[in-house]
Amino acid sequence: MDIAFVSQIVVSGLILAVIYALVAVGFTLFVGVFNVLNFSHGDVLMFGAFAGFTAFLPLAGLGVTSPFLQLVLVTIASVTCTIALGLIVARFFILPLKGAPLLNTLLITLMLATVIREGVRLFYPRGSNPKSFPALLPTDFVSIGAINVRVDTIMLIFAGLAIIVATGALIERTRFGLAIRAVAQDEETARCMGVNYRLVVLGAFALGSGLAACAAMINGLYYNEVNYSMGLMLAIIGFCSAIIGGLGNIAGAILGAFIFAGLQIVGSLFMPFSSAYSDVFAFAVILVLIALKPTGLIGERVSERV
Amino acid sequence: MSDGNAIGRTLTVSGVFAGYDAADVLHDVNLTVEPGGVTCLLGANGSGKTTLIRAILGLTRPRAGEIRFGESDLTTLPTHRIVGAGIAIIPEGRKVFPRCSVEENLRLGAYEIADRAEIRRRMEVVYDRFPRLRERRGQLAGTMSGGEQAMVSIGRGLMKAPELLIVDEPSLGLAPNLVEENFETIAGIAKQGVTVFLVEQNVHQTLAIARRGYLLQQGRVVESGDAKSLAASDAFQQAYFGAGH
Ligand SMILES: Nc1ncnc2c1ncn2[C@@H]1O[C@H](COP(=O)(O)OP(=O)(O)O)[C@@H](O)[C@H]1O
Ligand SMILES: [Mg+2]
Repeated sequence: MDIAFVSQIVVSGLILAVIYALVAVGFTLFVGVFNVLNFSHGDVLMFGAFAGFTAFLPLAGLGVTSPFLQLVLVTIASVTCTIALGLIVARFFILPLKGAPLLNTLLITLMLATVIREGVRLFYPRGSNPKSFPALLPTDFVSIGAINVRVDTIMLIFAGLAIIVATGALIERTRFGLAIRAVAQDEETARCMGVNYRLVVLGAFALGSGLAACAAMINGLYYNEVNYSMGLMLAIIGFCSAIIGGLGNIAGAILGAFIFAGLQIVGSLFMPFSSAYSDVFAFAVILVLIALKPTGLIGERVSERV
Repeated sequence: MSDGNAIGRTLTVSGVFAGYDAADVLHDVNLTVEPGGVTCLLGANGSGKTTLIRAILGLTRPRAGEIRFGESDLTTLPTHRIVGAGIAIIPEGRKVFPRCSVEENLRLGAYEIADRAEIRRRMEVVYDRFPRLRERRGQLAGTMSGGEQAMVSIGRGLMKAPELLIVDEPSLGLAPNLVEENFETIAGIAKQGVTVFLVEQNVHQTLAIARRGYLLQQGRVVESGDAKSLAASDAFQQAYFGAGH
């Protein structure tokens, strides 16, 4: 294996890690504020990818030809649409199930996932075909020593990391973040402090869904493809990452995402013939990890969650 | 500041029935907490004291009846609006946020306040009352001792600068010397003009600092009056000393 090949794999592993982390943080937020495993999250992400793709289509015709401006508009469309969908999910399908048995909310989110996914497949023009997402970032290569990397890849990794860091700061340093953490630790006491619980749940769903849109954009810009089923695997992996890190724990979810992507890289280094094998390898290791540490890797020293 | 004729709003609970799922715990509870001093709520374990507080805070909605604070009707308000009306709670079991620092816990007490200077000022008042919290401001509350968590919980309640402070069994689970301190703290808070509604098991210490009180038995108010006459009442004597008159 030469260094160029290895570095290529490391870079794509970083991209994956960043995408998974953005998805996993959403899962962990939803568990934190509502104790719900929101399986519609992956398909909200897919919806965001399609929203971005759709917003791109008319731009050239409208005279918007600058790739930078196109990127900004596509990102705004994607983020806005996922936040709107996430808010609808939270307001009409999650909040009304307050106090309902856990299995009912689980079932609702699974059905929502199916409705969103099948809705796009059936009603989007030629929705079952993959769409080619535009490359809106510079695609030339830069050389770092013996390694050649595409500029857009580097930009996407740094953008993703910046969003993750900003989200961490939001949770740790702002009043809204404090409210999310308080609700996650003790919802009733948080309400007794003056926290508007419904608003915090809606805010957390808006934040989680917006992060899913960022994941969708990075995914689309990197692979230059979106399809109606892309959310399924990303949801499973994001959920897995959140579990390894100790569900409800933001730092843990990010760590879990990096571990999962790392496992996929290791898998593909040893089994370079097919990416399917690296997935199987990663999931198998995760199974063992969960069996060994059922509460996640980041121990719950003080109490639980966030 | 003194007991007696403080200005402020009265908390009025009238005809409240409340409970969990199937059965009512509270049956036609009527009581008032008048402004100034300490009003206490006594009663055996399981008599419904915490349930009454939960009803006042909107955590357990009354099935019937009305709860007012001055002119405002709290009966159907969401909890965050109820505490926004000038009521703070020191909950049973303290309920500090374990994975938040002391300072973050205090910040949450004044959650609805946006003015940083005001928050800072209130924090300094709390730190002056509990210098130990100032030393430990960055520590996670969940890693503190029971006595320190009690300080966090009381300090967090005071951060709201409340008109009415509701305190549910503050000395539960504390070492005896800390219980003593706790009562002094609460009496001190009342002396500074905050109306206190105190739920307690330590009847003697409670009656020593309370002006008026109510005795709850199986979800019903069976006796009420000023601290002296309450202590002398048959129902009280029977409940606490089993003396049949
Ligand atoms: N969350 C709850 N669900 C069901 N029953 C409860 C709950 N909390 C308290 N109870 C019941 O309500 C009654 C009154 O409890 P509580 O108000 O906590 O009494 P106290 O505070 O006076 O000890 C008890 O019989 C208790 O078992
Ligand atoms: Mg109680």
